[in-house]
Amino acid sequence: MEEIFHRVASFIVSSEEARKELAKHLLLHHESLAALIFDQPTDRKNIAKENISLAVFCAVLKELAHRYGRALLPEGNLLEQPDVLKDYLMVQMAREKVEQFRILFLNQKNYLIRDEVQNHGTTNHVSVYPREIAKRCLELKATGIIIVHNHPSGQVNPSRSDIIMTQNIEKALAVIDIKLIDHFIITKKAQTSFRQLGLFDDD
Amino acid sequence: MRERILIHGAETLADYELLEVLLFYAIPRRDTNPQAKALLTAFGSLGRLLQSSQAKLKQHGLTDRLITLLELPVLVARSLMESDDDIPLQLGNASALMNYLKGTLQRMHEPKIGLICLDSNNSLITEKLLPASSNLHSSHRLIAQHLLSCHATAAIIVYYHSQSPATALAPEIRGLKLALQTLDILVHEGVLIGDGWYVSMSESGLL
Repeated sequence: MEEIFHRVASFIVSSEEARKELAKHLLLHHESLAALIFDQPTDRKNIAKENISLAVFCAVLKELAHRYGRALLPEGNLLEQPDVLKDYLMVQMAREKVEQFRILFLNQKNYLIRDEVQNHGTTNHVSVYPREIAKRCLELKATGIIIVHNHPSGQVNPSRSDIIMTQNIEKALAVIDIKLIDHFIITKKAQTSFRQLGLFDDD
Repeated sequence: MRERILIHGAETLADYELLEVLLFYAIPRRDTNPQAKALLTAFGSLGRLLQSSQAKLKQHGLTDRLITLLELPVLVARSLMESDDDIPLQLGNASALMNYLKGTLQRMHEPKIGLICLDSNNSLITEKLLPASSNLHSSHRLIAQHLLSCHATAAIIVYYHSQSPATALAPEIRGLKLALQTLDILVHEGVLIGDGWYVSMSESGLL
């Protein structure tokens, strides 16, 4: 951990003394590299001048980490490597402090066509419309989708409204012969699969 | 480009632009654009560049410093993949709250007001301190700002070493509770704590 923070510090300030100082400061205030990245101020327009360099560095590293994660997704059948998929989803969503809803659109061979983040919601709720999802599936010629959302609160189980929402989406997609393959809930600790919980109508 | 990142987010940058900004942290005095583009061309894609081993990067003539820099996004990704085994501090029940506050009281040597920010599991996000002279009635905006910026959905107010009694302070809490309701933030409780004494407003029936 110290090594990592020292490494980060080495790119922000130049003298060895300043680097040790900054590394110490970072270690004191952030419990991990991921925490450092996500602890950066969200109101980016009003950052104090002396903090800008670090804030931009973290923003760039976060986005590069996301794109790196995206590149790791297998080219072929997404369902054949569930661990890789879960790792990817963790990188993208586990530590977001706001609820985020994401759809993975797949083709007949279960190859990934598109990965789209839907509206960001308020802290605990995102509005999702089955109609819009169905429309997008047809536009992208997807035959199946995986929906994913995160629980910033760390609650690993789906809420009642999560379950109802999922069933509504499933029903809407059935009308146009598109399969809702699974629904994942991502938290810092774990990934929960609706299918594994037996929550789909056809289970 | 730093401004673009700060205002619009790093997601709006193309691969080569992201790389350009990153490289600038190792090579601050040069225009890093050509090098960024060259790297992407040589390795084919951003993904492949970041996945490359140290040996491969050295082969391409990259300095140790640049290699160290290019390892960071992967380290961040790994850090993001790690499940969090720490159980966050749960302040949902009275005794957990009291224990927590006994601890923080140790650091308070003069009257202060604490704003405890909680998430929907009543886990502690952070505690912000307000000056003791704050009249809560006139601090609603500041308090709301703090709570919204840390994505809290519930709050507890703590009066450390309070000079006023609970009965005098309860109306402030009630007013705050009403105001924050509109923002979907629940004010659970107001607490007064000092050396050897503790008053819970909800237990005293003041809320």
